[in-house]
Amino acid sequence: MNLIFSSRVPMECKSELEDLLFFNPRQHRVRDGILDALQQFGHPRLEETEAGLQVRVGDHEAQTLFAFGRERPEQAPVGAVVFLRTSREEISIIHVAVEEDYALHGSREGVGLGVTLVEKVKDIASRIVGVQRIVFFYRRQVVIRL
Amino acid sequence: MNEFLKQLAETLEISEIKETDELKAFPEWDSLAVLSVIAMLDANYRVNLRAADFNAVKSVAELFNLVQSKKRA
Repeated sequence: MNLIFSSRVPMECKSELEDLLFFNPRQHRVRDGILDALQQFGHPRLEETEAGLQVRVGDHEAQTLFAFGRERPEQAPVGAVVFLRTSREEISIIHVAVEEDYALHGSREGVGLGVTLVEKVKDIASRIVGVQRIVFFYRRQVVIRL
Repeated sequence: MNEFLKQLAETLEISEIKETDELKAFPEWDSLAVLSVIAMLDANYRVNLRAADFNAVKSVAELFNLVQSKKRA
């Protein structure tokens, strides 16, 4: 997949980003996990900052990584992963959203952008002292050791 | 192989899996499923697969063979 990754989204992509994060048609498949995440961390929302749009989750300063398709002129993100450090040893991924074309059964080749985004988080986590595992909050038994 | 099939079926929440089954043919085969399988293989087989490893894998038997080769490596 020909992608660029960034922690920032231009302000003019707010509508597309809202669609991606909050109106994803496959969200029903992980409904219970989403409800758990909302209960534990609070509601995610978009915040406008000088650097662009950022995702905030309740009172937590979540980290977000966005994926952009190189071929797409409109510059809207095609995927996003939201994660938090929930303990010294643990990073929790609390939200992943990808455009349908980039999902595992989508028209793009490859293993699916959702997995690629989680691997990006794994790469980031491996550089943070003390972090030993990533927990996928939608399905708590999914623990990825570093 | 039987134990592997059982563990894979439990991970994907499918009642039965055969070694000839194609992974992408399962409606349950999505990004979350791939991550669940990666976590299961790490926990049960101490094999740490990357997403790219799945690009060359089509069937359950091919996944089993990949796990065996990684265990030997």
